Formats: sequence, C-alpha cells, structure tokens
Amino acid sequence: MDADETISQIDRARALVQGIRDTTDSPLVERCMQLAEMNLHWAKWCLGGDVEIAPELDERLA
Amino acid sequence: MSTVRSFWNPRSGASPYWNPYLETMPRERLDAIHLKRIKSLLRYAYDNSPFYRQKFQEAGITPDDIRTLEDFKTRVPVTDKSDFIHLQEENPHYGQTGAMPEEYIAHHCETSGTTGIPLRIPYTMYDTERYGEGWVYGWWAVGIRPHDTFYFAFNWGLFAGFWSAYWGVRRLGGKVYSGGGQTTEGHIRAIQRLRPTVLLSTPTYALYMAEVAREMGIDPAGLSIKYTYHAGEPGPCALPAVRKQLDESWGAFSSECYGVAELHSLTFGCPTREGVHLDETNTFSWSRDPESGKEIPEGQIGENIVTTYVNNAQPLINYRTHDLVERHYNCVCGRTWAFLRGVVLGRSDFMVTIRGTNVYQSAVEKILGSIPGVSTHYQMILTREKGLDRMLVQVEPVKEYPVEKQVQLGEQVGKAIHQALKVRLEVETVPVGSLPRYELKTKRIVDQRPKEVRRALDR
Repeated sequence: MDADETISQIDRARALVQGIRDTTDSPLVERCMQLAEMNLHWAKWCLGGDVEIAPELDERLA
Repeated sequence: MSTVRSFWNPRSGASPYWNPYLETMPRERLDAIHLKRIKSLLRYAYDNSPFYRQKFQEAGITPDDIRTLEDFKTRVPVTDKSDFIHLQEENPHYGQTGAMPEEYIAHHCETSGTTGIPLRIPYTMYDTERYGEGWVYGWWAVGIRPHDTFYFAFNWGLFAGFWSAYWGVRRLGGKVYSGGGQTTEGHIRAIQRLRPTVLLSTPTYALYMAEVAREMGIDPAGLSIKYTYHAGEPGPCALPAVRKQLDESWGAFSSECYGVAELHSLTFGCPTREGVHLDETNTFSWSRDPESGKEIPEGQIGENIVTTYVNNAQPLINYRTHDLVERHYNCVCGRTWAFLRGVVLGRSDFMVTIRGTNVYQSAVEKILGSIPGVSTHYQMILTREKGLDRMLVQVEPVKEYPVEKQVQLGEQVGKAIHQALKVRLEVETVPVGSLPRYELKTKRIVDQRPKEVRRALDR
C-alpha cells in the first residue's frame, strides 16, 4: 500500500474513532478513542499528510 | 489454540528506515510539507499563546504574512530560553508561554537550571509520544529492534532527557530496565544479572562505568551490551577517539542523540557515525550567523535555530540553541534529512558540559560575585580523568583577605556552586595575582582535555 492509500485508510479510521468518541457515555471508552485519534493523527503526520499541528485543531476546524 | 501474532509484518519489519516515506523524501517535497506545518504552528501559537501573540505584534506580523520558508526565517523573531524563564518567573508555572489548557498537560520537566533558574517544560500526552519517537529513528537506524532490552543508567528526576528515551522505548516496543539512582558498582551488577542489550547513558558515564567494571574484575566488553546509545553531551561518536573508546570498552556499537531538553530529541546518530540527522517529522531548523542574524548556507558553520512541532503545550519557534553546527543535505545513508557533520562543533555562548550538566561561565561568575572575599579573577580548568570530564574552579581572594581563611573560602564557593547549579565542581583558592590577566578577550575556560575529545571549534 503506498502512502496516499495508507492516508485515505487512516482518514476512514479517524472518522470511525471520532464517531465513537462523540457518542459514547463511557469516559474510559472516550479516553481510548482520544488516544486512538492521537495515534492516527501521528501516523498521517509521519506520512507527510495534510493535518493541523494537533488533532484538537483538526477537530475544531471540522 | 491461541497463538500470539508476530510483532511486525514482514514488509515493515525489514525496512532499514523507521519511517521510509519521510526519511528519504525529496527535499523539495519535504520543504513544502514544512511550510504547511509552520503555517499551522504559527496560527496555533498566535491564537493560543499570549507570548507569541505579543512577539508577533511587536514584529508587526500576523501568521498570514508568512507565505514562504524565507519569510519564516527572516520575519518571525528568534526566541531564547531567557524569554521563557522571565515570563515563567513572573507568572508560574508557564506564564504567558503555555498554549494548552491545564487538563491537557501530562508531564512536567525542567532544565537543570545551570543558567541560574530552571526552565519549566510542560508536555501534553501527544508531546511525550512525539518526543519519544525522535529516539526511535536512531535506534532503528543502527539495528536496535523491539526484542532489544534497554538499561537506563540514570537517576530519574525532572530532567527530560531520559524520560523521553523511556517514552521512545515504549514507542519502539522494547523492554525497559530502569537502573535508577544507585552506585556505579550497583549498575554493573544489575547489567550482569539482567543482561540488557542496550546501554543508555551519557558518554562519559558509559566510559566511567567501564572503568569501574574493570576495577571490579569484570570485563565490560564481555557483558551483554550490544549497543551503547548516548545523550547529554553532544558529539562523542563523531569523535573517532571517543567512539573507539566507547566501542572497545563495551564491545558494542555506540551511537547518539543530540537533543535540547526544552525542544526534544531533535537528531539521531547517522549509521556512518560522522554526525547526526535532524528528525524532520518533528523539527524544522536552519543555521544563522549569531552576530548578523543572517542565514548561513549549507556546509558552513552557524547557530542551529530550531522550530519544534513536538511541544504544543509550550511552542518553541525559531528557538536559539546556541549550538554551532555544520549543516549538509546529502548523506550516503540515503536520508534526505539535514545532516549535522560532527554534531555540535562549539557554542555561541560560553558553556561546558560536566557529567551531563551544562555549566555556563556566566552562572559561575554570578555565584562568585555574590561571595564576599572572592575577587573578580577566576579560571575554570576542564580536564579528563578515567573517561570523566572534571572542572576545577580557581579563584583569587581579594588582596586584604586573611591567608588563614582562604581554604574555607574555597569550600564556601564549592558549596554555593553545588547549591545553585546542582553539580559538584572542585574549587581551589590560589594566591592573589597568580591567575593570568588578559588585555583583550578574557579566557575564563581553559580546556586541558586531550585534543581528540574536545569539540572541533574548541581544539
């Protein structure tokens, strides 16, 4: 899988994670999703993907 | 039956690079990515950090004015540690310099305080992960893998250096043996018993440990260490004599990271061991003439000016490291990331590193100036014994000081230095008029270490 394909898969995973984060009523699950999102942001960043400096900013922009 | 799946898939596990996409990316593409990230960082810092908002306003710019990397280097003001320390002192913990709400702060570190007052460094959880990752590039480059086991010959405290290495081992997936605060003999016994494969320490401490092991009748080269990896004193592995000493002492392959506590582990050892590569996932940096402020071209020596993407809790933009480096962009290892030949070649201020602690001439001078009976004549002599750097501070008392009290005066100075700088230096009181007087530039630091262990510009 090349970098562009990997990034588009990461974006799909991020959308799923954000969905769970926004709707869960468990703080534990929300924290797990925060950390998952952090790692997905990092993977995309390290591939040279177009993201803001921190995932919190992406969220605010979304 | 439930079988544990293998740690890597065969493709990524065989990669010679930790991040093959970015480590070998053509420069032009990499610089385009840097520009986007710098724009994002400037906007973020301007919106969230009162310090940067004011700094930009004083310079008459907004983030939107920065459209090229050239704009960034020439229009965005440089920052220095003292800017941050003053604001933090006025309004602790992070004064006007923080940029994240408190609930995001996951870890607090501090610099050693050798300039007088420690700089407070907040990290978000994400900052710590990014900081740690900087180490992994270097480990992967020399062949260290998750099956390796890391021995930390380090006393854990507020110092960022080895905390970040710990974060790094977790990112890699290796195993941590936390040596902690104990005697050198205790560390040697622990290495004998636990059989780690990687030793993490300052380079001088690794050499001292080897010396102590031999005194204990143990050949350190016969122990389990396959790699030694160093930080705290930049450049040992780029000095052939020191590299050879490290390799032979431990029967291992030595490499290093040159980092700056408040920034991050910003470089890692090139496998050629002639210098370090900048971690360009986390860092943008350029070389500057410390006098004129103009950019220094590739291949020439200038001050390393660093912008980190790591520290979002307290952004550091166009930050002065005062380290003099020689930057190149081509390396036989295949990486396109900036290569700093010889690591750090000197300092743009007056500083030496003793047992991993930066000792500034100005800080010592300030202490001496506060002790009644000490004259303005002093000298700091740097020597090397058993692989360890040692610093002797020679002070002249004032003319009228009673001779019989001069020894106590030296002890008083030694205690004051230890209390303020957290490092023990030997102090000697010498007769009035015995230290050299200089007509022009006063030379306070006298480096008497063997030529091959000094930084290039200090030889």
